[in-house]
Amino acid sequence: MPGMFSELAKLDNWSQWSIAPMAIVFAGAVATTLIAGFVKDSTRRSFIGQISIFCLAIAAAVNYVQWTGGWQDPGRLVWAGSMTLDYLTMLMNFVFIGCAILAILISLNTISELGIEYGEFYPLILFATGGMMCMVQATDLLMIFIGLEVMSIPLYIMCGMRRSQDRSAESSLKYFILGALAAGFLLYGVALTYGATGVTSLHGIQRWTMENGGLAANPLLTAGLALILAGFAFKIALAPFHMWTPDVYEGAPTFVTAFMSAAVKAAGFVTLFRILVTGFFQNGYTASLVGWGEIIAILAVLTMTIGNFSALVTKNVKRMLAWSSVAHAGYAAVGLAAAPAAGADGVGGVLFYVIGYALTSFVSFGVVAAFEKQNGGLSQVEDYRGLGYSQPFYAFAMTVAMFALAGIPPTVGFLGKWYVFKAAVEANITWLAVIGVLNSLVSVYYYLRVVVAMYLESPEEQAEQEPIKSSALWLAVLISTVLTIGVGLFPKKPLGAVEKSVSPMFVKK
Amino acid sequence: MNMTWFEQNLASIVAFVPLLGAICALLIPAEEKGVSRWSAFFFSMLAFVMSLWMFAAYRDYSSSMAFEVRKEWIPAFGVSYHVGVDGISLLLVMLTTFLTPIVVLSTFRAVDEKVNLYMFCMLFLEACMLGSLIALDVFLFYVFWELMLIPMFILIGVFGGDNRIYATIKFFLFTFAGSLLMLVAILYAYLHSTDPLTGGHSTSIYHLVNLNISPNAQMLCFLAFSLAFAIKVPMFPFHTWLPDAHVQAPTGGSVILAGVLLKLGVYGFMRFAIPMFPAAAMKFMPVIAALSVVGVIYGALVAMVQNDIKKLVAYSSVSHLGFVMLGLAAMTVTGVTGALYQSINHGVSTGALFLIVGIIYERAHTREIAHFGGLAKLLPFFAAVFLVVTLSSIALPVTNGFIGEFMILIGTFASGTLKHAKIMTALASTGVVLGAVYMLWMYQRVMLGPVTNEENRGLEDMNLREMLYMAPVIAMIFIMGLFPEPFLRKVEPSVNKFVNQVTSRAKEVEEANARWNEEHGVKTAKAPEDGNH
Repeated sequence: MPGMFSELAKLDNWSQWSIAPMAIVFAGAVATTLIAGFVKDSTRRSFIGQISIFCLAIAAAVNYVQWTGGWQDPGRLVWAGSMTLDYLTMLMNFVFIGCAILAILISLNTISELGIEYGEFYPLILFATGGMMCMVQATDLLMIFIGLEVMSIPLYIMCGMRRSQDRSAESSLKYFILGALAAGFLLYGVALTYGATGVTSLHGIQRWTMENGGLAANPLLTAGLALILAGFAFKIALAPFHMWTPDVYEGAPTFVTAFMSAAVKAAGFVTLFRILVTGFFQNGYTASLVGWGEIIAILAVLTMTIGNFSALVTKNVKRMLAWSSVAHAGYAAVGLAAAPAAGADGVGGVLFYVIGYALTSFVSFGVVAAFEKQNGGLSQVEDYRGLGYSQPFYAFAMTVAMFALAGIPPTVGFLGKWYVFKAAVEANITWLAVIGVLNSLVSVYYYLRVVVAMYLESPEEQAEQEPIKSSALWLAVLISTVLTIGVGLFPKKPLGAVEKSVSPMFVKK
Repeated sequence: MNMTWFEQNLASIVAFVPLLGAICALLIPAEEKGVSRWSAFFFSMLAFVMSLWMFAAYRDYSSSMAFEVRKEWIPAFGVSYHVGVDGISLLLVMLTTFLTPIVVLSTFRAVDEKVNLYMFCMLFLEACMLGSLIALDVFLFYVFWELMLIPMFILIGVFGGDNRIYATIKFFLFTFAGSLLMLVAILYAYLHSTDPLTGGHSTSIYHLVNLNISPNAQMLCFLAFSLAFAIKVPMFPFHTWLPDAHVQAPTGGSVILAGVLLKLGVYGFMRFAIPMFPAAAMKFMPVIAALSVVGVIYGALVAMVQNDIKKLVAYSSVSHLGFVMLGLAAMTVTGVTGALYQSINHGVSTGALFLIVGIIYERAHTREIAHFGGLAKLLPFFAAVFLVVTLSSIALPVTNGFIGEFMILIGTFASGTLKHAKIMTALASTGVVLGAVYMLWMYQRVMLGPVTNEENRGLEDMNLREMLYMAPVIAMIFIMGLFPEPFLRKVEPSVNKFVNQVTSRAKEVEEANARWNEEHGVKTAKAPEDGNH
């Protein structure tokens, strides 16, 4: 540790340049916090949102420069080995920035409809985004933990922003208490790992295990890994650590739910596979007594099944989507379970799956947000009856989302499933792919039910189905719908980017 | 060979013209019903004209595919936009493009609400069906195959009868269930294929027909593919979704469902399941044949006791498709050609039967057989058309049905590979008799005798529009019955190639499997049973 500080003293330009997008996002967060204090007039609050989008756009532009060659040596370690800037980080930066922009677009006009009368939402979402960027960029367990907390704390607050609503308060409190517990697990795991190996950097752990006969030789390290796994399983809602998800997702304002289900899940998965693959996996070398692949396979089965069967009996659309989000974490975990044997294909599957799911969840939660009001609005599946004819645009978007979530081609949801199940078959765990497709069959029923309500049933009485008037929300739904189909039809470039991001992780050193 | 760009891409053009029409249908405002109808008719006719062109330009390409195009699509997964047509798909493409304008024309009066949505579904469905018929890449095929569910789901669910929601969800879930296991099998096959050009895996059918996988895997993959296709056909005992879907579907939906959609199951067997896993296919042929025979007899018997004309026709489909699958299982050139020919016949004649049911339902608002009686006196034109279609359905000589069923029975009887072929043929032949019984009995109860229900006296005979769309169907019944030669000539070389390839590949694979079993210490006698249980 002391060495770290002396290293910091002779920082090169590379280190500073490597975190430029993250720094811009954090600077934007600080700036908007200050500005928010001066904007009293609630009608002008969307101004803060516009500044936030502007900051994110600059960060994206810088990130683009790095992606297209502004960063000479992808994968080199910076900041005394605690961070890196590889293609994976850059790709995920795009994803996080995109998710934050979409969430802000959804929130711009809906936020006042929900009775949230303060402008701090925008700085909070920027802090959370910066935290995610830090978490994915980090190659040191402590740095990862810092990123995770910077991401989580704003989320606890954002979940509880509808203070007048009991559900929102419940959501916030539940997320906070369980989140703190999970953070405790994670930190304990990091401590045990440090106790066993004497290092916290992922490359250091890898080196140590290779030199000392693998995980199996060290129960302390195995216990550390198990605790780290549990901590992350909580964040990405893998069963049996998923219990908070439906309550938190349902109670939070919908734009926050969309952001959580898209970006937080993606950040959790990517960080988890970075830890597992870089720290606890040595190119085919058995890293532990029980490989983590098998453990994740079991978690995946549980998660998919519990998520889908719970969604099947849920009548509230938002809660149903929350359960479906649990199920989708299970599908993505199939790719992770395949990673020890399928290598880059498994991890690439996870990456593509979570990005695709992020797009789709902005469509589905965006539509839910359009009809969520302070009093009333649409909540149950029956409320959506006849929406296909009264609100064709939002109903069409919702239909695309439902079919994408069910995994029907040519949407990004189908390609994601293809990718992770392909990895499972490749890793010779075909049974997991079979369980996965059978789960899709269960899921298609509750997704179809929404489509049935919107197009095949007519409302019993003249129902109020006016969406919130917001061109920003409309734009967010349009963009994510077009991308859901567009990436499904022309996935060449996105798949190329995914492959470029994950393949260096499996190069033998 | 000097082919223009247009001719080279003809297969894609045929499939994409309806897609263009579907997009147009969405853009036309809901109030402009006339515009929706005529634009849909225009695009479906355009597709038909293009397919006629294709039919004319098709030569004997027994060595490869005609109108073949292969373009890179998703290189990361070895997927390409690979399309082409051979004798097996050519006639099914023709059937699709032939039936769609007829269906569009038939709905001018029946569908009066949400016309643009209806026309969108119809044309989108046509595009998907054509897409899956011309796809030579199993990924592309799967995309179209799954996508097809959505327009059909809307057609039944929005435009169907009283119990439409139950029927459409059942339809969707059944077919979706089948294709999911196929997806795993596709993945498995894909991961064991090699594209010699790139060295990677590929989903092109060219690279999937010479897989090198264990005997057990062949069995399981074939079963997974078969489940998807058997549900679509539908083979007994996977047929239970069909009567519900048919009874609830609007006339147009039923015609397309019976006419083309079911044939895609048969086509899937011929294009993918059997060529990809020939040895496993040959092993399961007796099972398929036995289930087909059961389907023939069971379908006919159940059809006999129906009170609803549409349900009767629906069960008759189960019976007829049993014949088709039997011909395919025989694996003789005559049997398979007959199966293919009978697929087309069934599309024409059962499509026509559903149109007739639609005509009568539009007038009487019921399909109960007991409600009718003696209609022949009141509706002479209708009676004549109905009679021709009925006779075609029971395979009377000079109609198309005769040629198909005859070829299937002969082909099965002569089959050298199918066990108990002669008994199966004999049993299936009883289906012909039963078919005559239920169809003629229904005709007699509805059309002949004295007028039993005074309400029916007010019914109008067929109008000009109805005659206009029934005329080509009646013409096809006789043309295909009297002059099968031009059609069979296009089909036979491809079928010949298919049968030879499958039987010889099956032998090779069988030998390779024996070697595999020896190497892996599996007792040869035990291997097939492992696949079964």
